Formats: sequence, C-alpha cells, structure tokens
Amino acid sequence: MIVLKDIEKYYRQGLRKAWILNQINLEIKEGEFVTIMGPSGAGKSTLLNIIGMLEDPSAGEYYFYDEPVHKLGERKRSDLHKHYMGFVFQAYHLIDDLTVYENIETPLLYRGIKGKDRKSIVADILDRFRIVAKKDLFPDQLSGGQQQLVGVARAVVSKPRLLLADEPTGNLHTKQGEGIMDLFKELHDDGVTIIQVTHSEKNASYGTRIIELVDGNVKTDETIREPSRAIDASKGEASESV
Amino acid sequence: MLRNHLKIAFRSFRRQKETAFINLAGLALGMVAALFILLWVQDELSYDQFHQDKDRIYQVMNNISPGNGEILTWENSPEPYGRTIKKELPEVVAATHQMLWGHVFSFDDRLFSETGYYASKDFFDVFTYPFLAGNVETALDEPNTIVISERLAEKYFGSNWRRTGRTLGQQILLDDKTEVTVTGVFATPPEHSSLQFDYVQPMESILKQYPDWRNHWGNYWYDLYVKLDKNVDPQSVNAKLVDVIKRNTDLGHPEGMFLHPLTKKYLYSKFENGKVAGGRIEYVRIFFAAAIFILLIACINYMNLATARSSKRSREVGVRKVVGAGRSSLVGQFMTESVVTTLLAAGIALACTQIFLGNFNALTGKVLFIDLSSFSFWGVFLGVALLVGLLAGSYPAFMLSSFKIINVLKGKISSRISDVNLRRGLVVLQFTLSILLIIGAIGVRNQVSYIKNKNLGIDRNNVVYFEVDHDRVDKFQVHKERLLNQGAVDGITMVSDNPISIKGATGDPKWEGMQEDEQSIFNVISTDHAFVPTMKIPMVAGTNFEKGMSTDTANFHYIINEAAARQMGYENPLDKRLRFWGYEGRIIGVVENFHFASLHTAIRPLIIRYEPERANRVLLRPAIGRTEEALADAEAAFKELQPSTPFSYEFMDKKYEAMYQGEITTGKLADLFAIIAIIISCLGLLGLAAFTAEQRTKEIGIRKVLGASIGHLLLLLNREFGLLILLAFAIAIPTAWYLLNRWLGQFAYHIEMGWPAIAVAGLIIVLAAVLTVSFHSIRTATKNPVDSLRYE
Repeated sequence: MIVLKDIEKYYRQGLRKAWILNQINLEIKEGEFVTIMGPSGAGKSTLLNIIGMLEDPSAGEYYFYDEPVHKLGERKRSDLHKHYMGFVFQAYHLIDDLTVYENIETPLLYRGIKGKDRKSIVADILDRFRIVAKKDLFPDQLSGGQQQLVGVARAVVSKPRLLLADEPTGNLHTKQGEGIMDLFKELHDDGVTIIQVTHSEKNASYGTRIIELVDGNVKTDETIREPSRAIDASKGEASESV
Repeated sequence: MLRNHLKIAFRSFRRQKETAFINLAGLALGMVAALFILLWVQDELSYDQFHQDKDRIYQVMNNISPGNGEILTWENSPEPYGRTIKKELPEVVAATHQMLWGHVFSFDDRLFSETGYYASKDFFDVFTYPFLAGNVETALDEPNTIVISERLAEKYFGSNWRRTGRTLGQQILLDDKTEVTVTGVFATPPEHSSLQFDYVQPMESILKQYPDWRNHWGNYWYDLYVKLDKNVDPQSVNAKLVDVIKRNTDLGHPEGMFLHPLTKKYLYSKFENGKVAGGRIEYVRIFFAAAIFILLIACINYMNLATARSSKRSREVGVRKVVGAGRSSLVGQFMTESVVTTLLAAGIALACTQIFLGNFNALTGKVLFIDLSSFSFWGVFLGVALLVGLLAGSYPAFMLSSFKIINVLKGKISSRISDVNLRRGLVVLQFTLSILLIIGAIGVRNQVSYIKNKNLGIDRNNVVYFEVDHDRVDKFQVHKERLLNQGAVDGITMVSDNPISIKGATGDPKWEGMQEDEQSIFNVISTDHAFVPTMKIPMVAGTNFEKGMSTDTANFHYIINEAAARQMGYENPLDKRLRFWGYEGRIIGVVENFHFASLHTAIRPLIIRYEPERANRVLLRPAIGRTEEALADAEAAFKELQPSTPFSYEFMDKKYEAMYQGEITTGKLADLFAIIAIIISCLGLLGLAAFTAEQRTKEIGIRKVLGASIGHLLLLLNREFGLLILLAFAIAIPTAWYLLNRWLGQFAYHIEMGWPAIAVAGLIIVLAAVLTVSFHSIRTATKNPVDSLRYE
C-alpha cells in the first residue's frame, strides 16, 4: 500500500540543513496496524503528515498503491488523500460552528455524496459509535473523550482504507483513551489499515507493528503480531468505556 | 453544499456578534449612501430624455468674442436666426425660437401668475409635448391664441375639462388687457424637462406689441432650437451656421456657432472658449465617485475584519481541507458568507433608504422614489449588492483557502507580514478616502458660505422685490413718492430686470470710436434715477441719473460699468456717444463692477440706461426694523394700482440663494456623505482595534505585570493606528487640494483653500479615530493582568 524510498525532510537554517527525517525507507501493507513511536522531536508527526500527504518531503520517493505521489500534482494528491484517508488528531479539531451530526457529515459533503445517502451513512455511524443522542450538540458541549469519538467517527465516515492518527489519546484520560483504542482495533479488524503516532506503550500494543524513530532515523522496526483480518477481537465492547 | 455554507454563515454571525454587527452596519450604511447617490444620479441623467427625436434636437449656441481674447458662449439668438437657418440648410427640418414670458391670467374672476413661452410655430414639431386637445398643426397660427398645459386646463376648467368640452375656444384675459383664445391643451411638461412652462403663445402676439423687435438681428434674446434631419452629423451643420448668418445680414454676427444637444442641456451648461466645459455633470461625477468610495470603504471594512480574524478561522480551514475540502469549495464557503452578509446589509439598506427617502428629497429638492416593481431596479440593486459581496469576500476567501493545512493545524499561522501590511494599506486607503471626502465637504461648505456672504458690489440684503404690470409703470410713480413719504421705506427704485441676474443683452451697441468690425455683447438694464443709490452701488466716475431726464430717442442717458468701459476701450468714457436699439445718447457715469450674474462667470460689460417707463420691477428697501410696515404699505399701493392681481413679493437675498441651489444642495450632500464615510471607516477601525486588543491581551498582561502604566499601554495600543492615519493624511491632502481646486476653478469667484480647512478635517478624523480605538484599548489596558494571563 505504502512504499517510502529515501524520504528526507529538512529545513534550511542559514547555510545548514536541519534534518527532521533522514533516509526513511518503509513499506506498509494493507491490513497493518502500525505504531510510530519515539521521543519528542524524532520526526514522528512529520512522517505521519508526509504519509497523509499533508506535508511534502524534501526528497525521496513515495508510492501509494503504486502511484508515485512525489510526482503527482496538488489536485491529484488531494484526490488520493480524499478518497483513501481519514485523520484523527490529538486536539480533535472538530469545527466549532457545526453540530456533531454536521461535523461527521462534512467529509461526505466534500465527496459529493447525495443528501439521502449522506443521511443514512451518518445515521449508521452515529448508531455504531453510540452518539445518536449527541448528534445536535456542538463540540464545546462535549467532553474530550466524546469529542475524540466524533473525531474518529468523522475520520471513518467515508470508509477510508487508511486511518492516520496523531496521538489520538494524548489529550484524554486513561479510560477514554482505552475506549478510542478499542475502537481502532475494531476498525482494524474490519480491514482498515491504521498508522498511529503515540508515546504510549500500551496503545502500541493494540497494533501489529512498531516503528521506533530516533532523530529522524528508523531505529527499530518490529512486527509484534501477524496482520490478519482473522484476529478475533472482542467485538461490542469497543466504545462502552468512552 | 450551499445550504451547509449558509448554515455556517449564520452560525458564524451568531458567534461573532460584534464583527457581524460592524460588517452589517458598515455595509448597510455604505449601501444606503450609494443608493441615495445612485437614485440622485439616475434622476440627473434622465433629463430631457423623453423627446421622441431627442437625438436630433439641438440648441443653437453663439460664440462671441468681446475682443479681449475671451470667447463667450451665448445661449440666446436673435429673432431671425431660426427661420434663416431652416430656410438655407436642408439638414434643418424644424426650428423654433422662444422666449419665456410671465402673465397674470384671469378667468372666471380668478387670478394667477403663470409662466410660459412665446414661441414659433415649429415648437411642438421639435419637442414632444403631446397635444391632448386641439389641432397641433394650426393651434399657434393666429395671434392672440394660447395653448395651455393639462395642469392649467385642470386649474381653470376643472379636472373634468375633457368631458365638459369647456376648454377650446375659451377666452382668458392676460395682464388685465389681452384676451387670448385657448386653441389647445398639451401634456404638462414632465419633471425631467429642462423646459418648464404652462402655456405657449405664438411669437406673433408679442411682435405685434413690440414691432421694433421684429426681424431684429442684434437682440440675443431667444432660445433657438432646431431639429436635424435623420442621420445628419451635427458637426457638418456647425461648420455652415456662421456663413448662413453672414450671408443674410450686414449687422454683426457671432464669431462661431454650434449645436448643443438638448439631451446635454441640463448637465452640460458651462462653456469655456466656445466649447462645452461641464456643468452639473461635474456633480454627477463627483457624487458617483463618492458612492464608489463609500462602497469601497465598506468593502474594506469587511476584508480587514475577515482577514484579521483569519487566525480564528484558519483551524476550520485546515480541518476542512483534511476531511477533503478542495480549495474551490472553501472559496465558495467564504464567498457565500460575504454574499449573505452583503445581501442582508442590502435588505437593511433598502429599508432604511425607503424610510429616509423623504428626508433626502427634502434635502435635494427632488422627487426621488424607488420603483420596487421595476425589474431593472432589482437587477441593478441585486447586481451591485452581489458585486460588493464578491469584492468584499474575494480577498479573505482566497487568503483563507490558501493556508497550508499543516501550518494551520500546528497553530503556526498567525498573521503573515504581507497580510498585516495589506490590512494596514487598506486602512490607509480607507482613511485617505474619508479624509478626501471631509476636506471636500469642508471646501464645498466654505465656498457655499462664501457665495452666501459674498459682497456683490450691490446691496441685496433687506430688499423687497415685486413686479407691476408693464402698462402701469407710469401710474406707479405716484405710489413711489407716497411710499417714500410714509416713512417705512428707505429707498425705492424700478428696474427692467432682476439686478443680480440680468438676462437682457444685446450685440447692437455702437459707441464712439468703435472699430468697424468690432462687436460685443452688453447686458442691458433699464431703470430710474434711484437705482444706484438704493442698491448702494459705488460710482467711480461721472454722476447718477437725475429724475426726469430726457428719454428722447436721440438724447438718452447711460451709466456703464467698468467692464463696459474697458470693453469700449475708454480711458474716460464720460460724455461718449452710445447708440443701440435705435436710441442714441451719452454716457454720464461709470459704476464699479458689481455681480449681476452667477459667480461662475466673470463680470461682463453692462449698460444701465435711464428709461423708467420700461422698468416694471420694483426694488424696495424698508427702513431698518420697519419691514412689516413697508410690506403693508407696498401691498396697499399695489392693490390700488392693480386691484385684480395678487400681490406677491420676494426678498432679494432669498432670490440670490435660489440661484445657487445647486451648490447649496451639493454642500449639504457632501456633508452627509462625508459623515457617512467617517462613520463607516470608524466602524472598521473599531473592529480592527477590538481584534488587535484581543490579540495583544497577553502581551499587555505581561507588560502590566512588569510595571507598565496604563498611559504607556494606551500609547502602545493606539500608536499603530495613529501612524496609519497620519499616512492617510499625507496622501489625502495633496489629492484633496488638487480636486478641490479643480471644483473651485469653475467659479470665477471662489475661496482660496487654506490650511484651516485641512486642520479641521484632520482634527475631526484624528478625534474620531482615537475615540474609536480607545474604546477597546482602554478596556484592554485596564484589565487585570491575572485574568488575561490565565486564559493564555
């Protein structure tokens, strides 16, 4: 699904270059649940943003489903981004002026999905995430955990093949965090490829593979579990604790 | 998608109440001003557009060179010009010359003063004033006939005059002596006709009364209009006009002649060097520009507030991009927001305009109205609103949608330097425009007050003006004496023309020592011996007229003004011979130049002649504090003289002000629009100041903790805006100077634009701006730092 070849990211500081990512080579297959770990400033978020096409690498090649992203134009890239990816942020990033329902609906709007279909898709998600009762509330009327739940719902409402999450539980209590992680696991079991950035060993243990970044280099890369759709997860308890 | 955009727009109004208010108020106010101006402009542009052949109707203008290198454009022509031109030039299919002449109408024992034309037969062929009764072909064939307007028909014969048939053939008595027969009724001239009249009589009627006027080639008295054949280039006719006149008379002829389109008569009435040089069109342009300025100022408010608040909106932009928004849909969203705002503002503006239209009409003396059923009104109205919305929304939309997702989400997007500079630039532009409008308004106001208080060289204050019948001038002499003896009247004189607006003129005069080919136009006024002292006109040489001087055709007496003396080339004009209109006489005195026409023009040569029997207009100067008494005495005398005529009088200074109604109205409008511009600019500043204060809350808190005084903080917060306004000043002053002097240049007599006006404008702006900015900065500066720091 994803192939990174010699990806670099640096900023110029006067005459010198400040490296954030250095010669990253990675391959991520469909169905994996990858965790990127590492100390602050190691380049985790940058790597995630590059994969998510929010940021351009300074050098290197990036293939997404064999499409050379580094050669694509803005429009084509944002098409790929729009059709295959969902994002979850540490700070939730819900739109304050929109209700829960409308926040979740927004990605569908931008994909040009018809009103009737939109309604049923959003209704399904609300139901699945058990937030039907909250659908008319605004973000500032929700707790952090609930907001992140909406954030995840919004990220997956358009059925992305790849879910990118940047410290999704960073702002949450332990209990809320577990809820979100259970949800991720469930999504993974349904076949969504997930890449998350986290500091938490515990969150990492939900995944299939851990990549450790230090100073812009891949230090370790180990598969802790076979990425398989057959992994039996205890379905149903996903969002109870949220 | 649109529904979603709209929803967002309304929610963001609700959330940002102050911003929304400033935006709506600013845009609405701007649109009210623009609507008023555009209605006014449209009204100005619609004059004389109703004539069927409007593109083929021209007024014949005469360029006359008084010899000093100057070319005067005279809009009246001698009596024979019209028929001569029509006869000799096949391109001219109709020609009418006409002369405005008031009468007292008496019918069924009712009396009214009315105004209308003596005109030649082609009048109704040239102009489109449709006949409602009578035969347009023959109505003016016989002398002592009259065609009247529908308004008069209703007034004299009742609103059902059509049905009673009691109209055609009716006799009306004019001035208590001439019976005329009604031979037609025409539709009352519309508001937008430069020609305003209630009746037309055949020219023959007046020529019969004054036979020496007939076929006179030297009296430039008549408005002459021609209608050209289809597809005739007026330029080609222009070239032939003078030759036609030359061929037909040995008397003097104009230097040049040209055709002035009727449709331009109202807006282009000023001529310089024999060419059109503007007129009211200047005001139309100035106010049109003001409308655009004001709308622009309002748009800038919107742009500035929207971009200043962009850091607040940027996160939303980032999130939307992440979840798949393309740039175009974001642009669409922000455009929707601005268009919704402007449409709301347009709605408010329309309501306000409707409410205040009455006041605006009172101010401008027009009868403007909004035709809400008119398709084209809505087209233009919504078009302009949409345009304003798109203009106001364009920059914020493109700026906001261009944010890089990653920067936004990382919170890196504060204000880019270029945006801040642009915002500053726009504030400067806004205030430059406001200052321009203020300085303009002050300049116009000063010029208007200069006009109002101008010493004309003739004392117009405390002078009562009324007219007596031409036939009773003789009889009035007795009353004059009596009025003076009664004591309430200080002075009384009679003249043939309004002395602050003398229209009578002739190119006829021959003076002693005149060169063969020399010809010049002189204004002429006939009067009695009391004119010069009563009107307090200083004499520079010779003596005033004496009572009972000779008025033999060979022994006339003249006083001329300094301009006339110079025109005739006299060092010492006294006792020089002067001859015109078949009268010969000598110059016995010279008066100082006084203004007997608009201040737009320089003082022209004037001949004052002693001829009391032609002077039917009474100028009466009441004794100080006895005006009421003097008026009562005058009315009693008038009633004795003309028992069947209503006594109506005016004060000269009011008559004078009426001459400058255009300028006075312009002054008031300029004030109004300048005030609106300042309010809108200050609204924008209020929003920006609020934003800046909010942004700097943390900084202010820290500074306070470190011991900064409130005064110091206020200075800090206000300094930036202060500098911007100073910059605006630096730009506005020379521009205002240039534009104002151009406007003043159209007055031959005008103020010099001095520093005080600039200083006053500066004071107003700085005060307004400082008050506005301080409203927020004081709040911020006095805040408890603990509160402000806690939230950061």
